[in-house]
Amino acid sequence: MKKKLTVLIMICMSLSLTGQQSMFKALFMFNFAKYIEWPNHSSQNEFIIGVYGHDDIVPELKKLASTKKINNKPIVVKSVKTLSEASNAQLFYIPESKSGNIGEVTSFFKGKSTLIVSEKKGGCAEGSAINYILQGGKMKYEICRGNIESHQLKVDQKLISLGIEVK
Amino acid sequence: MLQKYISLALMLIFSLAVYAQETKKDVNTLSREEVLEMNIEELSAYDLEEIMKLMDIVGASTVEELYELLLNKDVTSASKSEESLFDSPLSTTVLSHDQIIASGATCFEEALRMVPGVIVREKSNGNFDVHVRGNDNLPSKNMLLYSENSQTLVMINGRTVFNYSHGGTLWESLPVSFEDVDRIEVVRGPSSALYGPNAVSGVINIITVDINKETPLVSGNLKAGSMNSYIGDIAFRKQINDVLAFGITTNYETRDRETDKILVYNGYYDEANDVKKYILDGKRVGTGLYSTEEIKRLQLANPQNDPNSVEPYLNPRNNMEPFMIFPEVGQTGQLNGYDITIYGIDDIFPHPERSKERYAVNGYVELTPNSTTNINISGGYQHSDVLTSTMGDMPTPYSGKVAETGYIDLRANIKDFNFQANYNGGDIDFMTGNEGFELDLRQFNATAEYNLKLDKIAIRPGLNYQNISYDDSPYISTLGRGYLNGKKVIDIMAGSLRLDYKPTDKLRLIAALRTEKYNHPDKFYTSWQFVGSYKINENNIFRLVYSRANQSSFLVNAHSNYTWNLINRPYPRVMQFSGNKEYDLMTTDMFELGYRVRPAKNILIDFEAYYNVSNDFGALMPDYADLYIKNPAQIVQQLLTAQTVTPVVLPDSVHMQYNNLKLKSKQLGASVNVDWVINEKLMANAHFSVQQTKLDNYLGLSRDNTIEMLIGDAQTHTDETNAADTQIGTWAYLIANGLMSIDDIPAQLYYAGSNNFEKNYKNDYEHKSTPSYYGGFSLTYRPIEKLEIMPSSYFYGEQTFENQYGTVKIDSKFIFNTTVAYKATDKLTFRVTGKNLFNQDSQEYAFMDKVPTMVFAGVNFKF
Repeated sequence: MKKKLTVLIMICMSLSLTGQQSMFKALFMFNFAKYIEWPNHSSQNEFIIGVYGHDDIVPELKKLASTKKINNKPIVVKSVKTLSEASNAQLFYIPESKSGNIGEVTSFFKGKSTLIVSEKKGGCAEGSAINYILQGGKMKYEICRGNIESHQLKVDQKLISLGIEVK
Repeated sequence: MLQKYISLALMLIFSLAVYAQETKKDVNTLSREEVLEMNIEELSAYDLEEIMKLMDIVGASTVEELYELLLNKDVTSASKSEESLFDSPLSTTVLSHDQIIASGATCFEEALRMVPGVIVREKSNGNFDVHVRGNDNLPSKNMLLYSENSQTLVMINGRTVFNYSHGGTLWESLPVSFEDVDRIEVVRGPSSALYGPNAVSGVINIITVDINKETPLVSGNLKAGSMNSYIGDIAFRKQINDVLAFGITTNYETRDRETDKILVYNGYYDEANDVKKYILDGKRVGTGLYSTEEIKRLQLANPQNDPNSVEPYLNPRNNMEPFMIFPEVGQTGQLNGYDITIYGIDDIFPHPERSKERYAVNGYVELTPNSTTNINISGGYQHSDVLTSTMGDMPTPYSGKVAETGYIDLRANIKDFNFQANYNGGDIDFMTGNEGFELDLRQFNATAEYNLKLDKIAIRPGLNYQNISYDDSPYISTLGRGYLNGKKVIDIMAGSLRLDYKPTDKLRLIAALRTEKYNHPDKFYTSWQFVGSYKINENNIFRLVYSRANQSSFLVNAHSNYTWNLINRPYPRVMQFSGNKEYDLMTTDMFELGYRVRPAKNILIDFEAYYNVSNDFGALMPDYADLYIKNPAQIVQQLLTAQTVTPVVLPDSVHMQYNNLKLKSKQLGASVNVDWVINEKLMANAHFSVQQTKLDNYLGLSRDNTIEMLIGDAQTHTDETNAADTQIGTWAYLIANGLMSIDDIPAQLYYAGSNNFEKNYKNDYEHKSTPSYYGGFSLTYRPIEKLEIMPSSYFYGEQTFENQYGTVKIDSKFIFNTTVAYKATDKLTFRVTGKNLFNQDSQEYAFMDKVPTMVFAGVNFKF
């Protein structure tokens, strides 16, 4: 019994370690929204976060969604197979496994008030607003003001100063 | 009362909430364990800045970073735009700068041993032969020139660095070194549709570092090792502001050989019976290693005499002096009415002990005026001097190659428009000490492409112009002594179109087409790539590829005009090499099946299987030979005096013409590559390739065999031989009757000639110059943060190399290396590498140097 318990604890530990990264990404994302201003005319009652495909970030975001709000709106997390399922997302995340599709995503959300977050080397150059990177063993984010403002969003200077600005 | 309780309960909840708020601890006092114990709800109370601090306290999992570095690389060469390596539609491998450094490789060619499907053989210390998937040494039984890999396009940032004179890559003349390079991308399979001619078996694109805020101001590598090998490079780079960055790099390398002796080959009249060809200090000697002082004394033995006779063969064209293999002093000019050029051994091998010396300097300027524009300008100069396999035909398989070139490259990306123009010019001596092999080189290349990205399709039209010229006239004493005898030009105009269509999330269809118009041959060539890839899910992707690519014209093939007066060989007296401007360019068609799978997050397996069919090989081969009677006066005398004189009938001149061969190569092969991050301390890589090459219409004749066949056929031309007999009889009659003097008989009399012989082609002939299996593996073990131990290996199966002067068996080989690195600080790493630790020192490339165990120690730094 003791042995089984040890194994179970070990499994839980390893799961929590691999989940650590996703949890922090979700927390970052939740915080990004605090520094972004969506246009007033947004009449949606919910704050929709779209995630392209399956990714470990989805359960983490759902945990946040169960207790937190963004802009006083309940958070709805949608894991989508096609972009049209999340056409009204305020925030759209492209996980690394889908990073080959940044071009597709940026052209789909062109002109819409959507904050595009990706995880790919040079993701901002391909049109994403915020891009997670690993640098010196630490997770950081690149941010491109032009790509944020082109989606009719306003960004707080603090968010830019905390990240690595890409022009 | 109830109201009171409710108020109390509310107060209690409020105070608990306040208490909970108070439990949001100061991020500066939290330990890693405390942060790890928190759940997402607790952490969501912190703002972004605090979250970032907490993240720093926890640190990213090292293993996550390793997945990122080793298993989730990006690549640009397979589609001309950045994509995940997993999604690459072609067989692709990326070697990062850190991987190259960590491997202990001493040059890029050696690092390519980590790439599946790449065959790397060391010729002499630091000089390598690099082939992608094989098809090497075709056509065989010819000059060593044809074993150079002229089917892979090597580029630096998309700038071709190709030898259009003979075909192939002069690796030593690449100006860049380790610190210049961000990564090397290798694409296997025909890729002319993307990059133009010569991307037949694949593309090796060396991509330099993008200078940004994170780039160290000063970085470099210094290494010293066995055989007086010293290798170093240093880079100074800085991003001045968001708009401007610049960099200067420089590198130096020098290496010695294990011996200063030179192989003299083709040293037997009859190898089976040990009849040696040369005489050295009163002894018959054959093929072997000799010092340059010994080579100066090496004479040709008289073939007519006893196999042990030390009587030299006397040269009628050089005052009956012995034939010297390489005389002490060279001669140029006229001798007894013949144009001659004999270079002395000291001119050919001024440094027989040194295998490689090179140095270079590069400059980079990067301009980013706005988020959609970047302009990169780079330029540089290089000098290289190596002792390696010859491109010509001398009594030794070695020769020196000296290159001194400069380049300037402009790359501009403005939104979706890409423009690249570059110039490479200088002076290359392909065979030092031999008149006619030094040339001025000028290469100009311009490409413009537009990448139109629509919803599901990307359309990339492009235009390309290449103008390449080589000119030997500044380096030859008189016209006729070079193999080009003037400036010769290759002009290529090309148009291309690439369609990349993703109808669904999973399916990707690619069609790339490129049509080129050459000045010679005056033809259009079209190359293509059709790819269908299907991503079953995030962890499995299949692809099918059908592609075609062709070589370009090479100047030696199209424009050769070289008269070789063989003053230090008995016969033929003269060989004429002629090019063929309208020859058909060698072309390969490939069918490939690829599959990539990520069975677990930490394992990536890449499988590829291919079938190649290659046609239109060509070679400078004898197309006719003339026989002359060398002693007509003696024969007439015989008729008059009844003496016994043997008629001496020898081939006087042989004409070599570049012609296409009927040869067809059919190659079936497969490679598998596995990258596995076992845990934070242990990573493994293994790759393994198998292949089989069969030849149709294989003739299997060397140049000398062909000359013999032509001579044999000429002797059957009885109309010609009878005419010669009649002429002898006529002269005898005229002299007997006092109507002619014996002195009026010419020195030689045409006997017969031939341009044809019976050809017995073989089909399904097994070509064994490419090993049937090859591969490598490495383990990276980091027992503690500062220490890294990396055992690695590269191995290949046995090969049979067929050259005009013999067949050489290359033994199978297992090269085992180990690199140990000690990271003293983040900025300083010491590294020791033992190469070929099992001392399997057999030669890797026919006739070239043995490769012994070597030890290198060095440091790499960044500040």
